[in-house]
Amino acid sequence: MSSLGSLLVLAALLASVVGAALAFAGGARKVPAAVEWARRLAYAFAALLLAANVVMEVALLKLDFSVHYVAEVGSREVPMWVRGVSLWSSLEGSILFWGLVLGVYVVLGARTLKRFPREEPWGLGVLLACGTFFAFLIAGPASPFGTVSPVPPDGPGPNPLLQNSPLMIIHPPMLYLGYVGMVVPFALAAAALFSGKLGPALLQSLRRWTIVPWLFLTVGIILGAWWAYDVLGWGGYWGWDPVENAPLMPWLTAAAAVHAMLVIERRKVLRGWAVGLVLTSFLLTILGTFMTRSGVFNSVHAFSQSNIGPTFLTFLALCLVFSVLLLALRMDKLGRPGNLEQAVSREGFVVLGNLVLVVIMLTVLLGTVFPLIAQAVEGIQVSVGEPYFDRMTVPLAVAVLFLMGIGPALPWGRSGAQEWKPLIASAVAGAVLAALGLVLGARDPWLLVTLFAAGLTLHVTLVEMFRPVAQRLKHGRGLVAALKDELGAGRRRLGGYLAHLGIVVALVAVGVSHVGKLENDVTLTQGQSAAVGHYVFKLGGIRTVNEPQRQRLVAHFDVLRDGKPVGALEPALNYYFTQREPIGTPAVRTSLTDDFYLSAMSVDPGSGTVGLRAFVNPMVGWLWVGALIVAAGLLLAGWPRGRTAEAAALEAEAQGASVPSAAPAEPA
Amino acid sequence: MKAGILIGGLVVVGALVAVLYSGFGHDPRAIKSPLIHRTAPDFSLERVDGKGTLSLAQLEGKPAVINFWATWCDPCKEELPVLLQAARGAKGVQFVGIVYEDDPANIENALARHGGAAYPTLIDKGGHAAIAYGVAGVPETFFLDRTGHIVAKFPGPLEPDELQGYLAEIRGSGS
Amino acid sequence: MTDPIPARSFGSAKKSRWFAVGALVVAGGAFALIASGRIGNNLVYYWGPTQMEKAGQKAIGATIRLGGQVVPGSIHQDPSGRSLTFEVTDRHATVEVHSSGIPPQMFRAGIGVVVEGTMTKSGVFESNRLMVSHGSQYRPPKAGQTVDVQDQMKTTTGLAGEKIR
Repeated sequence: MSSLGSLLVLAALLASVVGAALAFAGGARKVPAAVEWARRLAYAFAALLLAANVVMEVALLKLDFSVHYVAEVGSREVPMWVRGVSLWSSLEGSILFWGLVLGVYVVLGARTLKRFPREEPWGLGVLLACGTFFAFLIAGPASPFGTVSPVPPDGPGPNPLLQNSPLMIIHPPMLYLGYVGMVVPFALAAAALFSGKLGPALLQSLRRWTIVPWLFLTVGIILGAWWAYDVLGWGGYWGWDPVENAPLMPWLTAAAAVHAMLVIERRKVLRGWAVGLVLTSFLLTILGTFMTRSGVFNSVHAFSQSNIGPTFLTFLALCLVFSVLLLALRMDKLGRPGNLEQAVSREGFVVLGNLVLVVIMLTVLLGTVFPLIAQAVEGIQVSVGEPYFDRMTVPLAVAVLFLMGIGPALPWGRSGAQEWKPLIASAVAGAVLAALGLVLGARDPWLLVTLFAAGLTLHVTLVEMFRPVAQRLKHGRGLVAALKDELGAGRRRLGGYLAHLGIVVALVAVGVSHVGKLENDVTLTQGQSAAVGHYVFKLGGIRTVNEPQRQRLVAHFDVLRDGKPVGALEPALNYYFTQREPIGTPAVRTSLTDDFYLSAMSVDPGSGTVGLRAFVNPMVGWLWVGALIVAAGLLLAGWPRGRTAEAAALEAEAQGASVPSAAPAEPA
Repeated sequence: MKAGILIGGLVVVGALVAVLYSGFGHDPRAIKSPLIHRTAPDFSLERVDGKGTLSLAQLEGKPAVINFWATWCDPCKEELPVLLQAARGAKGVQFVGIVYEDDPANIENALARHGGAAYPTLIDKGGHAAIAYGVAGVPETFFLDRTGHIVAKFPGPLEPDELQGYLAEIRGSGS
Repeated sequence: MTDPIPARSFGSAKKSRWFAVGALVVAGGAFALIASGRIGNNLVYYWGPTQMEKAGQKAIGATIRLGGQVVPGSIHQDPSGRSLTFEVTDRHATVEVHSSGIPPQMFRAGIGVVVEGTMTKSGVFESNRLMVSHGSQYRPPKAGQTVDVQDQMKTTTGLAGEKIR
C-alpha cells in the first residue's frame, strides 16, 4: 500500500514537472505539440493524485496500520464513516486530499484554457507549476505514505473534536475547494498577463472561475463559524482567530475582483487592478494555508507544529515574487490606462467599494501578522485583541453596506441630480428600519447606522432585483414568462443582487447579535433555576452516558420563555478516553428572534452541581440564512451560460467587437 | 514596465516573508520558563519505595533528568516506558521522577507494569516542588547539566529521539 | 443602456494621476496611523508573574494573559459562585487573581492556568477569562486502553485534599 501510494505521488510529481516545462517552452517557442502534451500530462497528474487518494482511502477503511498516516489517525474503535473522513482530519492526509482537489481544478482549468490557444501554454504552465509544489509536498515533507515498522495493532483515531460534530466532515472540504480553486483564476490572470491581452471571452472565464472558489470560501467560512458556535461553547461564532481570518482575506479580495471586472466590461478600464486582485486572492489563499499548517500562528484550532512550514514559505515567496514581476512587467500591455471621468457613477462606487474591501483585508492581515512582527522586532509575546478588529472593521463594513446601496441606484457613466431622487425612498426605508431598531431597544450608535444603511440597501436591492420583471410585465409578458427571463438572461444580475441581499441580512444579524448579546454565568444545583433575558432555565438533573469512545456528563435543563415552557436543553461535557480535558458540547435553541445558548463549564455528578454560561444571542439564526442567500446568489451568478451565448462571445471577440450587452445593468 | 509596482511590491514581499520566516522556531503558545539557565530549585522528597528521601544536592556532579508526572495523566503513562528504557541504557545521567498529586499504590502499579522502577520516584506532597519548578501541567521534564543548572524544559510527553537529543545536550554542557 | 465611453485622455491626465497617487498616500498614511494606534491599544501581552512584578505600575491597565500555577490553599470561591480568588505563581513571584465567571471543569489547586485580564491599582489581577493550560495534547492511547473517568474526575475535585470552596 505504502509503496504504491508513494509511487503514484512521485509519478504525479514527474507529470507536473515535465508538463509545466513543456507548457512554458511550448508557449515561448510556439510549439503546439508541446502544449498538447502538457495538457495530457495535466490530466495524468489529476488521475495519478486521484489514484493516490483512493489508495489512502482503502488503507484507512481497511485499517492498514503499516501506512504511516493510518497508524496516526486510524482506530478500530471508531465507526466506518469516521475512518473514511479521517483522510482530512490530520495534516498529511489533508494535504493529500488537497492534492486531489487541486487535480480536479487543474483538469477544469485545462479544459477552460483549451478555448484560448494564445493563453493556454502559460495558463497550463502556471497550473502545473502549482501542481509540482503540492506533489513535492506530498512526496516529501508531508508524505502520508511512509511505512511503519513494526506494524501497530491499533491506532489512536482522529482528533476527538472531529468526532464531536458532523460539521467537521464538510467544513474542511469546502474550505479546500475555496482555497485551491483560486489557482484557476490565478492561472487565467497570469496567462492574460503573459499574452498581454484580456479579451471579453477570457474575462468571462476569469470572472466565472473567480466566483467558483469565492462561493466555496463563503460556504467554508460560514461552516467554520457555525462549527465554532455549535461546538466550541464560548457563545460566539467569530473570534478573529488566524484560522478564521485566513479564508476571510481572499474572500474580500475575490469580492473586489469580481466587482472590478464589471467595470472592465462596461468601461474598459481597471484591467490591471482586477488582475492584480485575482493574483492577490490566490496569494492570500497560500498565505492562509501557511497560517493554518505551519504552526507559526497562535490559534485555537490550527494543525500542530510541523516541518512543512519552510517549504510552504518558499512556495509563498516564489509566488509573491512571480506575481509582482509579472504584474510590473506586463500590466501595461493589458490596455491603455484609463480614467474614470465620473466619480459619482456606478463605476465610481465600485472603485470605492473595491478600495474599502482591500482596506478591510489589510486591517485583518495586519492584525493577524502583528504578533509575529512584535516577536521579531521587540521579542515580546503578544496577541491582538478582538477590540482592534471590531473597532477597525465595523465602520468599514458599514461603509460597504452604504456603497452596496447607493452604487446600484446610480447609472453607469453619468449622473445628475435626478438620479439621486429614487434614493429618497430608500433612505426612508433605512430610517424606518433604524426606528424599528430604536423601538426594539437598540441604542448603540453604530448599530443604528448599520440598520439605516441596511434598510436603504435592502430597498435599493429589491427594487433593482425586480425592475426587469416589472418592465417585462409592463410590456405585456406574463408573470411566469417574466420570471423565466429573469432566471435565464438575467441570471447573473439576479444572482448578484441576491448575494447583496444575503450580505445585508448577514451583516444585520452580526451587528444585532454582537450588540444585543446577554450573558449570565451561574452555578446551579439540582432544582435551582436562573434567568437570562426572557429565558428561565432550571437544572433537572445530571446523567452519565457511556459511549464506546467517550463518557458524557449530560445536564438536563427545562427552559421557559416568558414563563411558558419551550422544551429542554442538554449541554454536556464529553470525556474522550484519549484526552485528559473534557470537551463541552453546548445546547442551543434557535428561534426567529434569538438563540438561547447553554454551555456547561463544569459538571459534578457527585454534588449535583453544574457551572454554566447562559447566553441569549439575538438574530444569530439570520446569519446562517443570510449566508445561504449569498451562496445561492453566487451560484446563480457563476452558473455557466449556455453554449450559444458562449460561442457568441467568442465570435464577438474574434471580430474585435465588445460583448453585446444582453443583460441589463448589474449590481455594483 | 511599472517600476513603482516592482519596487513597492518587492519591498512588501520581502518584509512579509521576513516576518513569516521569523515565526519559525517559536512555539506561539509557549510562555517562556524563567528557570532556563538558572540553578535548579532544590527539593528533598520522600521516595515512593520507602527508601528514605532524596534531595537534589545528592545528585551533585551528575547531569539529571527530572520528570514530573502522575498516573491520572494518560500521556504521562505513555511517556513512562520511554523514560524507563532510556534510564536503563543511559550511563552517567541520573533520572528522577516526581509524582504530582497521586498516591503511592497507583505509582507502584504503573511502574510494575513496565518492568519496575529504573530510577527513584519521589512524592511531591502539597506540590511544593512542582511550584518551585513552575510546572504548568504534567508531564513536564527538566534537563539539568552536571552543575545543577536547568538546560531545557520539555512540556508534554517525550518521544525517544527527542529524549536522546536532550540527553546528549546535558552530557555535553556544564563540564 | 449606455454604450461604453472610451476613456478620455487629455492634458491633465498626468496631473490627475499625481493627484490620485497623493490621495492614496494620504489615505494609506491615515489608515496606517489609525490602525497602529488601535493595535497598540488592543494588544494582549503574554506575561508570567515575574514579568508582572517587574513591570510594577506599568502593568496597570494593559490587557495581559498571565500564565502560571495555582498556589495550593489559595483558592477561595465567592458564596454566590460567580467569582473566585486565587494566587498564580511561577516560583519567583506570585500574583493574586480575582476571576469572574465560572471556572472550567479542570480548575483546581496546583494546575497550570492562563488568565486574561488587567492589573488593578490594588495589586489584584482582575480576570474575566480563565483557561486551564493543557498538560496533554491529543495523544494516542495504547491498544485496548480505556480510561476510568471517575479517576479523571478526581483530578477535578482535587486529589491533594483541597476542594474549591
